[in-house]
Amino acid sequence: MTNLSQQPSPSFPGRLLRRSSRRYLRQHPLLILLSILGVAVGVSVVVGIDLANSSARTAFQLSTETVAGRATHALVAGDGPIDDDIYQEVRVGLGVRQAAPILEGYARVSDPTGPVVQLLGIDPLADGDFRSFAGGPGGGLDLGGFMGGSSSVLMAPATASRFGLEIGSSFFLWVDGRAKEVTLLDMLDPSDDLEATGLDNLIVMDISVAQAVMDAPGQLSRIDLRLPLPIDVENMTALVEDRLPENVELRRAEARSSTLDQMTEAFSLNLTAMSLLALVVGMFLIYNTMTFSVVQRRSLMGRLRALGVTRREIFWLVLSEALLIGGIGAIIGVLGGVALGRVLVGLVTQTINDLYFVVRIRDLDLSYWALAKGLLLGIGSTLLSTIPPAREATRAAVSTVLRRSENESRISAMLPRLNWSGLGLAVLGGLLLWGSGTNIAVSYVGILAIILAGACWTPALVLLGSRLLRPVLGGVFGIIGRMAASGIGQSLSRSAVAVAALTIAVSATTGVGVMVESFRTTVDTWLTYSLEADVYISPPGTVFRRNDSTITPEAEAVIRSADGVISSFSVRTANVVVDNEPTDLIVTEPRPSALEPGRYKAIADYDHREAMRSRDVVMVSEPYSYRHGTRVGDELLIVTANGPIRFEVGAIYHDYASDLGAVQMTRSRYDIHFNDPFVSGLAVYVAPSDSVETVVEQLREATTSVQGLNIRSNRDLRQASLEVFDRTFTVTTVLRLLAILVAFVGVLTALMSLQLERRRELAVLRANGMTPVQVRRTVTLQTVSMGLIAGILSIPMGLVLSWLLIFVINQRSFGWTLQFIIDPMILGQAVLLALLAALLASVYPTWSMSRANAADALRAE
Amino acid sequence: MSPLLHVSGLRKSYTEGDATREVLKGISCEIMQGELIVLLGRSGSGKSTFLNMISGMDAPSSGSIQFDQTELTALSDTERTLFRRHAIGIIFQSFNLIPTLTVAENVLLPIELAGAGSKEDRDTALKVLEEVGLADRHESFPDRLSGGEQQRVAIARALAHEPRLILADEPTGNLDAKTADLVMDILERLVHDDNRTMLIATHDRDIIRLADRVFLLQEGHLTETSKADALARS
Amino acid sequence: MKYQLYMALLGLVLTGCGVQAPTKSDTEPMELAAAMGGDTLGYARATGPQLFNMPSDLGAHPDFKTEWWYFTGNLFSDEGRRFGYELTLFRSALAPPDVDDESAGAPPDSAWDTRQLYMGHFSLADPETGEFYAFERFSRGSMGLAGAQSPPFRIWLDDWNMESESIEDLFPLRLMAEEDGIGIDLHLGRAKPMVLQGNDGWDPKGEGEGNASYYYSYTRIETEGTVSLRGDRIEVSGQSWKDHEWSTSALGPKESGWDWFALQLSDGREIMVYQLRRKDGSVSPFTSGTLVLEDGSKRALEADQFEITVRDTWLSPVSGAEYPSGWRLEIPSEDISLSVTPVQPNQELNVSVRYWEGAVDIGGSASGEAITGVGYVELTGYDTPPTDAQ
Repeated sequence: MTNLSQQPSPSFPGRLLRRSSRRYLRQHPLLILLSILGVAVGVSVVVGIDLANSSARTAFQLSTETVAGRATHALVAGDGPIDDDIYQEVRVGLGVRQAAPILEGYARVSDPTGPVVQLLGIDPLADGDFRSFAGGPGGGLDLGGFMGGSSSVLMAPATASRFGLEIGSSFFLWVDGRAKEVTLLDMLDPSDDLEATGLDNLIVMDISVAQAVMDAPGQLSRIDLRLPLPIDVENMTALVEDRLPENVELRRAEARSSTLDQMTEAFSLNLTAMSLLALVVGMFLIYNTMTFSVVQRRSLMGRLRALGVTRREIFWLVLSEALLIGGIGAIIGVLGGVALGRVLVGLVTQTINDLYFVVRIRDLDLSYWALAKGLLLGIGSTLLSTIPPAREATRAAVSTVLRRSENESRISAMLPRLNWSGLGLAVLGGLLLWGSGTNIAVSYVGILAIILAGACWTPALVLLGSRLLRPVLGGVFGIIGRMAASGIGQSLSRSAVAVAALTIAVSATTGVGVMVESFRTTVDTWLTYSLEADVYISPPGTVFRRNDSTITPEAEAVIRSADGVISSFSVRTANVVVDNEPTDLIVTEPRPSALEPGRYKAIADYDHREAMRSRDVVMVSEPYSYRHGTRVGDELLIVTANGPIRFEVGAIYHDYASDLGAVQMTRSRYDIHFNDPFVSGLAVYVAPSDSVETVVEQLREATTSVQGLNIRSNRDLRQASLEVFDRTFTVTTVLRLLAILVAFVGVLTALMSLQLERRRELAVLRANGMTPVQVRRTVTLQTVSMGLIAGILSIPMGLVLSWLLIFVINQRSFGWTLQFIIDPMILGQAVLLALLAALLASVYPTWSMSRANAADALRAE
Repeated sequence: MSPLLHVSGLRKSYTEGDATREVLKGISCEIMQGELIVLLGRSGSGKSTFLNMISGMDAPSSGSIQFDQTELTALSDTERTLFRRHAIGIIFQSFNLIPTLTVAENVLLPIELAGAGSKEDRDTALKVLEEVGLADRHESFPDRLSGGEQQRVAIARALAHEPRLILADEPTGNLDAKTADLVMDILERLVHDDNRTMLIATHDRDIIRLADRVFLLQEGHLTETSKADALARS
Repeated sequence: MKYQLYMALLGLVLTGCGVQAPTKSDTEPMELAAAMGGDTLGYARATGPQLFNMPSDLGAHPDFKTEWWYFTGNLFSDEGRRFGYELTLFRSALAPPDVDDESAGAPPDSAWDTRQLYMGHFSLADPETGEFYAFERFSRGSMGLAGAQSPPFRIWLDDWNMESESIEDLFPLRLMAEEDGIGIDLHLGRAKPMVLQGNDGWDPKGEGEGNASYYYSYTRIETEGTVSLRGDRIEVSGQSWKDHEWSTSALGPKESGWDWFALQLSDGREIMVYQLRRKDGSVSPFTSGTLVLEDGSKRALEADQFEITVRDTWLSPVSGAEYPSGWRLEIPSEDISLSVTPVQPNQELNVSVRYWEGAVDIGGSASGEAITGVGYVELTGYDTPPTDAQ
């Protein structure tokens, strides 16, 4: 016994300790199961969202990469599609060999509402160095049939079989409401699974066929280039500058996918943040379970300590229990996440399709990284939330008698410290939100700090609540009521956690609910004043909010001169390069509306509407101004057919159609600067004497033979817009429900552990003559009181959250100003939700308490 | 022959709010190998505190506790814990068995903590249980045993890893007279047949009769007294 | 007599390589016979002698399935450095001309729409270093990417260009081709008169109606210009040879390959002879040749009038094919005895179908007088893949 200090200090508990720990867990199966469930749901939500996000991203990247092939750069036109004469100049005039023309687009298969596919027009003779999927050496592609014959196309076998097509089948491709018949000449020949996925829903054809199908004579989307060496890039840059028209620019191939990545960045990030919220609630749950188990075993820990078990062994013992729960929960969660991901990927891609661009691949991409991340996150958050109870366990006095009051007096003693921590966290959160600029991730960390601040304040507020409730409940229920109320305060360490978990979950749903409702009301108001014409006509596009398809001139003429139409104006959506970035340009004809002050966020001190017609003045949307820091009076460099031209910003207008931002120009200026006679949409006014519905019918009839068009009344379009809006928030709603589920599980475990812990106390009451009914009533009263406190606390918390979501997160993510609309219904729902959760959570403990054998419970341990 | 335990100038005080209460006011004593010492003292006189100091569960405010060659006061909490698991066996008044372990496992626990746990050690545990007459109950969980049985398991547990010093805090305090006798028999056998060293805090006259020496703890001071005096006091 | 080579190449493009445009490394050459073929239905045929209508017949005949414009030449710098070049552009119809109406073709609203495919071969031999450079290109015959016109005469594929510098006449003519830093920029000036091959420019290729081509040559054209060699520009001058041939023919796969000689003698005469080798080792009866006199008049050479003997062979390290590399050509009726020697052994083009097309030196005697000369030789069918190829 001389070298004690040199003995190794064991960290991990031995076999018997582990066995003891397992037996303990087995004695509380329901509690453990609920904890596992909590972790599992939390992890599921995170993994599901992560998979859905990454699937959408991977799908998009894969399809972009598949289509881009080995191109390193591309020549594009800043003012829209690139003239195909440029390609001839590049290849014949400049002698650039590694160049391939590309015309891309989207079409619907078989009928105007059929599935969306991507069209890829290539020149097979120039394409060999860029893309290899269209038949390898000896692949047997009939070149004569492909480029010399009828309208032939290629697609992957999987795509063909989905559409029920065989080699030789003819089918229709619908573009902008016009159909072209094409023939499946041959199958694409993917070299591996990845490429097979990348080729899904892709239809390859010769450039000549693509121009015909898309009705885009003389146009290319871009010219792909292979410039492997820096010197090649340098030479090409010089050639572009010296020899090609001013609107042509050289762009890196990755720029394309990264631009589109940026488009959805805010959207994805917000989903991820929402999913993490579910995990935070799950962490409360673990914290609660582990704390309960530690408190319950404090005497046991003390005995172990007396027998020579070190603090560290106790710490690891508790942690390993948590690891078991977290591990099982995380594994179940990952599996559940995959299942959830399958549902969510559909919702997420639907939203992306509605708002940003077409994602033609909708497979779930089972990224192992996402699964591993979920596993680690689940286990990590479990361990993290177990550290406080594990440390508490090591502080178990090496003693012989259990005294729970010790712990309660400790948390009472800690109240001031907790309150100060809460204040500190709130200040930190405020600073983070204030100082994070436009960084959404940091903003969310700020919000998390504020949520945690709320959690820190909860014990004090619970204590306050229980004191306030005591006379009330006492007045109604007598001694039982008083006992129930003061019970909450006495078991503060338990009840506060339960209330905090419930408060956070409920306030999160309140916050999100208020945000969505505010958003919806704002959009509705905006739609009301922006949709002023009676009938709206647009070709069926592929992305709801960014429709750049065109109405044929014939159809336009028919509509404008139709009976019952007294006036009309057109809208053109084009994609042009503004300040070196591809941007949506909205081109409008002057419309007969009055100047609506609510429509603008800022206007110049001159008449910008007049200026936009007579000078190079444009307006930018609020999201555009936010994204680029643009102010009235700034200048934008817009690439036109005549080269880059400076336009002055005359106004910033409210626009909730796209978070990508848009620039608005008058048609007269557009016609001067761009060679694009087409329109993307028409709005017509109907004579007051005519019925709008009748005119809609007449227009439909008049245009069917010319072009399939969406012709909608003002009311229908508004309805459709709101439907899309609601659809884009489906994911949010799903997440909200899942967060509530985790919260519910959390409350259930918190309340259960609370009541289980009070078994002895209640047994004493039973022994002293309290009836089972009275016990049940006490327990129920207590849990419902806690639900009430949580519900009430969640109202201010929820409002703070919704305020932050609206004015910080939304603003920073999308640049929108939303009205803050508080629907009392949503707040009422919150309280109700909390009460309901508490009531449900009290069912099992109440039942088990009232049945508990008083003698058993009283028996010395 | 050097003493197994050498305590000198041991002081311990607790702070409660603003007041400081000194429980042990400079205690010195020596315990030899194979001695059975009885520690007398009124409730609250600091007996448990004294035992906690010796077992290393708590650290003194000042003074020295030398166990064999080791100075306990120089050790950290973890080192004291390791010392305890190897050198000390403790018998509590309220048994303090681990409810989630069987009788045999309870006895085996200190052996395993001391770094063993093989088949032979299991046999040792069973043998010790046999010694306390509970071999047939080794599969039971503690809550199925009577108080006396639990205390016998506790004794078996305290002996199992062959500690050099056994500390007992009122080992018969919670037992009826008949059961207490049974426990006494075991303790007597341990001391006189197996030559164990034991420090027992008790008021049990039967135990005092067995004692080699009797210490009296009064108002924070320790004095040695005669058995006769002790019997008179208890 | 490059007929079958081109048929083979075009057949390959039409049936085999597909979108993966055949480039140096990633395409294994196909067996010649397998690459041949193609449907001749619906195309114009060379059914008999026909008066050529110049200058428009210098350009394309799109209703025929196949057509090519072939230039080779031997060039010398003032310092005595020499080069051999080949620049050939050829056209192949992907589909027969529209027989019925508009609806038979592709949608009419794209300028990219075309039935014509163009292929180009450009090679440069540099005997001083022993390097041989060969390049191949493909393009569609629309959008101005590749095409053929006359007058004014211009045949091009990307920036490879054969362009007349006069409106009405073929010469003077400028040839331009460059790839990977290897290039030619040549002015072809004074030329001996055009030689109508075969029967007044109608050259039967085998049994059957229409299995013939229209074929004329310019056998000696004064040439000067520059050769670019990775940044070096070398002034050169010498003599070129031009062939232009068009046809629609289906060939039986009896032949395994051919040896074709275009020789420019120092006495002002030219010889074009070829022999067709059959798979059974015999020589086809369609073997023949032409002797062009100093004044441009020609004398036909039948198979029994000349004899070609191989004096040496060369093993290609790339393809493993063994090519003849040195010949003796005897034309007893003309009292001509020549030795023909490649300026360097390696002049193998590793393109869609491998073949050997190289500059040669000529020595020997004519009518007892010592004679020299330069020329070009084409060897095909020596790179026969294993017979178990699919």
